[in-house]
Amino acid sequence: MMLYQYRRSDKGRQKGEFPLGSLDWDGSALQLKVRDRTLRERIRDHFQQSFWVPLPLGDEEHVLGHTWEKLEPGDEEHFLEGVRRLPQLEVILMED
Amino acid sequence: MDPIEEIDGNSRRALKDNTQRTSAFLRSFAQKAQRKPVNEAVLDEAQPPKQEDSLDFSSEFSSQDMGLDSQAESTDRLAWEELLDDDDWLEDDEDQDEAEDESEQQQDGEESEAEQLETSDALENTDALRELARGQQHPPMESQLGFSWGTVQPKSEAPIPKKAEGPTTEGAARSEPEKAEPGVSPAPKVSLPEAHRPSVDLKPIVDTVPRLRPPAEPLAEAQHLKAQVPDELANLANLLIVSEPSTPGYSECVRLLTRFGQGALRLCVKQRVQVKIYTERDFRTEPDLLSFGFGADEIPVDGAYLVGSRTCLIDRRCLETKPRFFHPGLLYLAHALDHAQGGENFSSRKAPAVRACFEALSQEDFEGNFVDELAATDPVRYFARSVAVYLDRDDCLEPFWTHKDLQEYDRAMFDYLEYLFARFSA
Repeated sequence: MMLYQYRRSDKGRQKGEFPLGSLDWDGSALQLKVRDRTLRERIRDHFQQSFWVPLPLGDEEHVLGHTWEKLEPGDEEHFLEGVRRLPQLEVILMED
Repeated sequence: MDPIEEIDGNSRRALKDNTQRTSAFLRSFAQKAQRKPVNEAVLDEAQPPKQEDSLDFSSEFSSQDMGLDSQAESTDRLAWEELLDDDDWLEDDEDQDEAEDESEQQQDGEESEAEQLETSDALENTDALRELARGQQHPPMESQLGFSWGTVQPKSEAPIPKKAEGPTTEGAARSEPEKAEPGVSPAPKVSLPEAHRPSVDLKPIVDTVPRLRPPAEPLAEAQHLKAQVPDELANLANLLIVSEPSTPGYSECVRLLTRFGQGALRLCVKQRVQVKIYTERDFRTEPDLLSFGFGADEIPVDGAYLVGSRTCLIDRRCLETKPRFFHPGLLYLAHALDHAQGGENFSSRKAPAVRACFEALSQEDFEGNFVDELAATDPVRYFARSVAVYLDRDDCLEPFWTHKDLQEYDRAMFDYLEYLFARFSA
């Protein structure tokens, strides 16, 4: 999957025109190919931290609540959560 | 002339004409039946006996229309015309009718005697033919159907078919109601989902292991209530908060509530929204939460919103410390506002703007379009989460999204919230 810039514009954030590199999960490790060294380091650090994920509890008819789950690096669930938070780094991941 | 009288006269005239025609026709038919030779069946014995149909007038009409020149038909036509011209017979004068009948009988005396002789012979012949035809008749219908006509027998006397022993089919089992023992009411068949089944005894959860939650930092001593919050808003917030003012985190809760504005707080007060500041132990002993069947590891963390009682439960630690990613106080107060705005249901459930924003983000072809997993669940949580982001003012350590991020990442929802809170403040 290809990485694109998620740049600011007058109408909010928009996808960049050209890909910045590629990012994949091969089942055990991260496959990152980005030419920009700074961006590559930032993405690598991003995927090396653990993520706190709020999970919904209850339903709209009775009670609405949430709980927390901590995802550690090393599995696909953590990778997907890291992909969801890539816009914080001003990049997004899209299919080819 | 009065049009009503004219219409009435026309209708009466038409009725009179119809009556004349009908009675004249019946009279001519009776005369013709007397004159008709009835021994035609005797002459042709080879033909089967033909029953005379008194309702078959086709020959009469055909003979009249075709203008056949027989003597009987000519006399019928004359009698018809005479009857049409004569209106006296309509006047219920029975004496005149009887006199006319007598005169006619006298005139036709000789003819009638001859006809009576002919008819008696014809009747004898028809009786003979009927006796011949009886031999060719079908057996009676009762014998064909296998029963005899008679009075209806009572049902109790009818034999009841015995039930087949052994396993019954599923359909038969469904059709028969289950027999309940006397004095024992049948058990209800409806089974509630396990999560919503009321527990018999609402025992508090004694698990002492604290729930997993992101680490937070102590709040700075910057919250001076009177310096930051107007009195009107503070009074409205005090009406919403049920907990004692001496409860730790009370002032921070008031400060968060005033973010919503005067109009939103008034709406919440009107809809009887309650805000309770709880400890983690209170969450484990709250009867409403226990009645929903939450286990020790399923009790909500940081806060909850009870839909039935419109109550916000906020963990005291979130008010005493600075949360890490988002403020649950703002999130669950946003749920309360959404519920108060919608009446019975949440307004975001039916608000076209919220639904359109949610669906638009759901159809994006990349991950990370929603602020977090909660917002991606349904429009209700999406709205509340967006409100919490919109009202956030440096309340968290590492917010997923800030107020500015919402404007950049979800411009449509940001514009809708701008409009909504401008309306509340107005």
